Amino acid sequence: MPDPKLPGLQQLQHVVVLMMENRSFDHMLGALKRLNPAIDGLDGTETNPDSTGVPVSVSPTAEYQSQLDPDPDHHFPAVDLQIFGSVSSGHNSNRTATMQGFVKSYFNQQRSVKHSHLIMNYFPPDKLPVLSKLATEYAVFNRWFSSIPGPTLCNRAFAHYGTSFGQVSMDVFYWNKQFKSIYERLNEAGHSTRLYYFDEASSSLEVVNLLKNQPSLFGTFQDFLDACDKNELPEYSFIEPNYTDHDSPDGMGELIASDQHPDHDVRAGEQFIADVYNAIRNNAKLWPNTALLIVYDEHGGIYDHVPPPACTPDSPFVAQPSATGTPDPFYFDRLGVRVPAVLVSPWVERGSVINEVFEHASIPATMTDHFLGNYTQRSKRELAANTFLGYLDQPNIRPDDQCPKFKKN
Amino acid sequence: MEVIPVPPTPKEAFHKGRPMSDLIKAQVMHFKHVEEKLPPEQREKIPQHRITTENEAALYITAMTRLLRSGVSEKPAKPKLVPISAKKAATRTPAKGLAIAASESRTRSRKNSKSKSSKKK
Repeated sequence: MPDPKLPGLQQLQHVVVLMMENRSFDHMLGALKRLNPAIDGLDGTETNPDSTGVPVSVSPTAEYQSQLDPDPDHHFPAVDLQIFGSVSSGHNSNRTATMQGFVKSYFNQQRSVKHSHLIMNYFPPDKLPVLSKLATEYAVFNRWFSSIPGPTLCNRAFAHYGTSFGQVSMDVFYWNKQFKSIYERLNEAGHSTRLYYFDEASSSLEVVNLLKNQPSLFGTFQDFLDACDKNELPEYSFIEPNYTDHDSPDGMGELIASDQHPDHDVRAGEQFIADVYNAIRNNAKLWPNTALLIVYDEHGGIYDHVPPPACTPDSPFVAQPSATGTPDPFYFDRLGVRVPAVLVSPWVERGSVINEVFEHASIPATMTDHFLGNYTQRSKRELAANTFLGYLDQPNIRPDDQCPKFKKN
Repeated sequence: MEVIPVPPTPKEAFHKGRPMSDLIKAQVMHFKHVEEKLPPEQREKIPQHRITTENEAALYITAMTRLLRSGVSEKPAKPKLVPISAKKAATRTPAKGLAIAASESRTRSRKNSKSKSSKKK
């Protein structure tokens, strides 16, 4: 537990989490290693063999759109190949995570050797001015991993519940009320919390359990902006970006997807991150009292060089081969691929690089520890997860003219 | 510190006719799962159209989200009909109205786990 006497924690009134979509750490932030060697990014020598055995190097030539089409496979069997470099035979329980299967995995989708190489591309910092600036000005996590080596919905479940209730896929699942969502825990204890989706047309990905059973929990992104303006932000907010290109439900125009899920334009996501940051940053009452975590749900099938570590198993949950799509069951005892994660606050040391291991269960773990204290009805994964508010550890708040601002052109 | 410009997104990046990704397909599937459990009078309000593109998904999701946010619940339980004798029925005054059992929210737990011990690491 962090020292509650830290001035940043004593002033802390609001935590905001923005969870983006489907980009790996190296793809978005790997280039920052050249600016700060402490950031565990790319040095340019990293490779993956293609389907002919030729090593393919990482390349700073990622494009905003149209490059990763088709959408790289990020379901459990494909991620298994990406991490272990080969398909499991079911007879080797001690496979080594080599991170050598990304190009082979992408080849499986289109059978184009040339196209499969694109999975090794990454962004130079000047193409991602918002995320890169935030990562270098505040705190970047070297070791934030997705919770499961699999797709979006089960990973996001860890952020809401501290578990995916045994799910490794995109199938419908029902919560087990033994492990309540962080929202329910906070509400029951009299704390304010809200889940902001972008608009009704994008909505939430947490449909069957939260949206259906707790509709009053939700608001729109405009509600978030209004809450910031009026100094009425809840104690804990979770923001979902826009998941589709669509006509605005109020007939006022066209709205572009901002989640950065391939093949959506990455620039729209940069703008969205800037909007969230600016809403807090430009409010003199909110800025000193708010911590913002920007994190991605999973790597989207895109290359990262860091092998995911083992973790506390999320027992009693086990996913059988019929669910994993591989010969092996999955005991929720190892994490998924690394994702970008940045912690923003004027109480965070400038240019921090955090090396502890984090995953999405760290989100409810952090909120529960901070707002509720002792609370035991949590999954084993959440109970074991590291928390992040202790990094608001500066003795003095950073002066306003030393905190960046963004302007949309 | 200088203000950092954020590059705009070009208009040609917008493509509402883009085929749905697996993510949006899953989201629609989850909404369909919820829709199937709605009372018929609520389901009638949901547009039934082909859903293959992002904008088509958005139209459907808008309708479902608005419905769910309005606090609609699952189907109410069927009213209990108590049989009465024919003689009593002839002299019975008309019922003022059917008593319909209140809908109850149900929380289901899905049994995911098999009873296996954790893997030792």
